[in-house]
Amino acid sequence: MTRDEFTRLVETYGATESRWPDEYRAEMIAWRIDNAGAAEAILRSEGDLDKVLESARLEPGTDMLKARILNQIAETSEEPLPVPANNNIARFSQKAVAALMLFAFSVGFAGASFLKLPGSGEEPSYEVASSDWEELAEDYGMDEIYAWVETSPAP
Amino acid sequence: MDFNTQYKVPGTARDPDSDILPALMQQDQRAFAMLIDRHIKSLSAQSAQMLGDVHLAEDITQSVFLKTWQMLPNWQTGNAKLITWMRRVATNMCLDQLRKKKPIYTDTVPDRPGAEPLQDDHMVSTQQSETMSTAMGLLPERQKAALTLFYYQELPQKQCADIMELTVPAFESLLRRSRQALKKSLNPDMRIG
Repeated sequence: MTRDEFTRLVETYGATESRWPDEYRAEMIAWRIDNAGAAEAILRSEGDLDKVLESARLEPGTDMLKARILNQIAETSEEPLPVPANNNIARFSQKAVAALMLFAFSVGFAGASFLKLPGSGEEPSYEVASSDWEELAEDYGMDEIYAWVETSPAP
Repeated sequence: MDFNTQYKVPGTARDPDSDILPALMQQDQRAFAMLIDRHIKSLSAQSAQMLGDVHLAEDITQSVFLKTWQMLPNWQTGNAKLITWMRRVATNMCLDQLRKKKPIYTDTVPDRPGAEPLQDDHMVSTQQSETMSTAMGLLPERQKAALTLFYYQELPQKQCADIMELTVPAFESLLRRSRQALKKSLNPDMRIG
């Protein structure tokens, strides 16, 4: 092992021997013993960083969390299972029903539009039902109605 | 309880959770409670360390266990260890979270609050911890993940690389860069290096 290799490994894995990867540890320890002076300088620098890293270790409590997770699992288990992804028949029937509903809605909408709306260029209807004529005749008399029709401008 | 006598699944022997894995795959809640007992501390600590937020880490840990529960019936034995998969899910969820609230990276750690001389070892330690947390918070998220997995979770570098879906040399390079970045940002305060 060279000095550069030792330096690179300590800069990667830190100065704590127990944290050195198994495949490098024996060689690194041997180099450190053979090159005590040089190794000490490298290890001191990286050891300081190891200490600072250790000072920021977080260990959150988990007592309530376990209960929360188990409750959620229990709730999830009570819900009906979703349709399996590989159930092609179920997926096809869902799509078929959706397509049928969409088709029926489209046909119904088009039919209603055809019946209700006048065609383009068609004049609006001014027809009056016969029962309405009878009412008007009773109220105004036929002469007055004919006179009103003749004097009214054409629609 | 010996779950292996009740459920048998081939290809689970090398997984440290192999004793309960067959029962887990049948969504046995007692086995799942055992899985929680085994891994809740380390998964919570991993998320807390990456996020620097204990409450958010709890939410992430809860989501990881829920995803695991939903995935278990479809678990493919013989590929990855269950805990490696769980750690990967936790790491990716934390990375997503960190990207959502990405800080503005600077070359130096912000000035510490109050510039009075430090009084005693406890204060030095508290100050170090705060400065370190700030410096960690400023690291790019993948560097933070690498440091967390290797130093705080104390996982072997091969497992870290596996969790982060990297080759071992790529993980080593990431880890080295994260230490260098940390040293650079801590140097004015800590006199490291």
